[in-house]
Amino acid sequence: MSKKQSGISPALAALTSAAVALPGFSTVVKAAVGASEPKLSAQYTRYDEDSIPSGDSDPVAGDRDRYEIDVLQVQFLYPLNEKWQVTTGFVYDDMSGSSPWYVRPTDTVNATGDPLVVMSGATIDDTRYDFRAGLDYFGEKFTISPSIAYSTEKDYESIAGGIAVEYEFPNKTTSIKGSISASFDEVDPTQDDANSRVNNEDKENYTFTGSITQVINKYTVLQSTLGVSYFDGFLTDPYKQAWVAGAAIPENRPDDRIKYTWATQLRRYSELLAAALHADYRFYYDDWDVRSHTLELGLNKVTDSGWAFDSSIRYYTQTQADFYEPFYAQARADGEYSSDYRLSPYGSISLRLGLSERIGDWTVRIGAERYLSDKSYSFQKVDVENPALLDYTQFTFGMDYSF
Amino acid sequence: MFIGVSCLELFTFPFKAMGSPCELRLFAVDEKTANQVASDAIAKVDRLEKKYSRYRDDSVTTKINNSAGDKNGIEVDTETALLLNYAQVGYEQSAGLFDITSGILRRAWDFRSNKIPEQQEIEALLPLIGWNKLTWNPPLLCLPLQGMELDFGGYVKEYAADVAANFCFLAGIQGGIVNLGGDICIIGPHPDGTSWKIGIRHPRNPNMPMSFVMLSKGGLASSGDYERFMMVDGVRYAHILNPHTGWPVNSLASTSVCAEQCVVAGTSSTIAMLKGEQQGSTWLEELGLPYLCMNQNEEVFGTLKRVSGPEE
Repeated sequence: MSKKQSGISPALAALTSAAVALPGFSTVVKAAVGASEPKLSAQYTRYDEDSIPSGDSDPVAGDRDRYEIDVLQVQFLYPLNEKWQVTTGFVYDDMSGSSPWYVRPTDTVNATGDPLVVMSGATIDDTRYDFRAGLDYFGEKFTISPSIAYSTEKDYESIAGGIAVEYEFPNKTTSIKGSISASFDEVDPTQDDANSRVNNEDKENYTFTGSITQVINKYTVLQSTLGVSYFDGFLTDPYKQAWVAGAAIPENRPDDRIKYTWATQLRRYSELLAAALHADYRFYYDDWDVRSHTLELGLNKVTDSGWAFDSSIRYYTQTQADFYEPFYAQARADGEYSSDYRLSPYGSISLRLGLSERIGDWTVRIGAERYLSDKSYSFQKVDVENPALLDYTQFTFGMDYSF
Repeated sequence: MFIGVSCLELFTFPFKAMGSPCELRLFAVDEKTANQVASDAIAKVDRLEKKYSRYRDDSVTTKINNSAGDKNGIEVDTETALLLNYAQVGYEQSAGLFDITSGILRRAWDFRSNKIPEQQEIEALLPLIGWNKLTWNPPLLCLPLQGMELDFGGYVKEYAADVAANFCFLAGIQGGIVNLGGDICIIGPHPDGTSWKIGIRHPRNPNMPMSFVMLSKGGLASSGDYERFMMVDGVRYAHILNPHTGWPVNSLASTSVCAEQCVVAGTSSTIAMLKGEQQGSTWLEELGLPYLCMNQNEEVFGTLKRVSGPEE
């Protein structure tokens, strides 16, 4: 298309603008229509955490091998008709290995020195079952999706439900989505003679999100989402302890938490690479003072011979919760303690690669991810790294069948 | 298991739609995929044909036309609303020459009869023509005078070509071409990157292409005085009718335009024809899109790059 020196002719701009608004022109926007055929998907995931380095862990106590998790997921999508579809899912996961129990200073007398993590002695072996079901209604302008989920394991039970509504504007280039969800969890930790743990505790969560998706042009889509999540109840990890002035005591976190997130994604199709590129940024803040930034860049390519390749690299940095310490030289006035590495300051980098091939009605997928976390990856300077920071490797293998 | 080199085959699907011979050509990994995509794409063309057909009782066009004279108007669906918005832009950009209310002139002009209508036959229709006479407040459309009609035929075929091509692309076809009776939309170039060689019909010789052009993307549409016409006393009267006067325009013999969307290519070539040879050429020059024209002296000109040789 040639352009005049001063720009595109106004007549052409006007016609093109009206044409691009017509339905069926966008390449990138997700069309809110249902699948046309039932689909069964199954995926196996193997998740392996690296062992704690000997320098970071207490030489006497615990097993340095961390979690190994095997997960099997099955999902069935069934379109009832053009407007309605049902999805059901089942997850089975089996976790074994030891996990960080508490962190103590090298010099326990003076409460100084590098922190060492004391791993849980007994190897944990736990199985979790998760069931979920959802319904999607595809209307002319609205898509409505209610869903429910139930999860159970030896010491934990959770029930959750939610609904999402999406509205597409008549211009067909803008859509907005809102969702609300709630979950009710009950924890009943397995008891241990040596350590007193709480019995039956519960917690609830309410989450609201709102997002807007805008098609910029035929190849570019921008999406931005705001979320607020409120947690109330027993938010402490019942199996973890904190070392406070010489003794390991059960950790204690505040009994409520409000989380805020703002995430923006840009998707652009590149004709040169014949691939879709995406850049995602997420900002997180909560009232425990944890702040984090996530940046992810990815590339998805589908070729005409039926195989597809996807890859992404993600960078994450977080600041610590205000009551977090690796160990506490003195007691705190508010009685709040946690040495959980997930509340510590750190940064992480992860790389993901995936490959899939479509053969007739089947699609076969394999994927791998390597995740590394360290204080040096953090954007802000971290003085003391939590010794239980995690590195892991994950493999997935999946198959889909379309009827 | 993972194929590094693409081994695609070309599959061709001829079919009839919108009153014209049509064809889909797709590069696909196997026949089953090609058949599936082609049949879904053809279904989309069929859906649009039925939705905007003047001849069907259940079409949107018939419902709109039946509402003429009703001051309450009629509420239209989203797709129709966007097509009406497009028609309004066409009307505005062509100084009122592109006017989808002018279809009723077919009641006076029957190109199979070889008879020129009486002036009063045409004059009786003119008060019912004019986009400015209807009220369009999306989604409410009102044709205030009984006898007014809308005709989507002037651009729904090009729109259907765009829809079909876009669908094929989204379905994973990266090389192919949609041809709806000469209105073309490219899904993508050949797997090796080469363009499609497309012949443009000669206005006076249906068996011989006027020219060939190479396209790797976008749409190509043509308008000509050869599509519907009659010769009376050695004078050609064609279906390019001026909505203000009701008479055919003395114009170019044919115009072809390339644009990113086939519908824009089609509207551009139609407007060029409606403006007549002088103003039509100026319109095309100012628009900036590649175009090719032949005038009544069979002289060919335009910015669209031509190649010679047999068609694919």
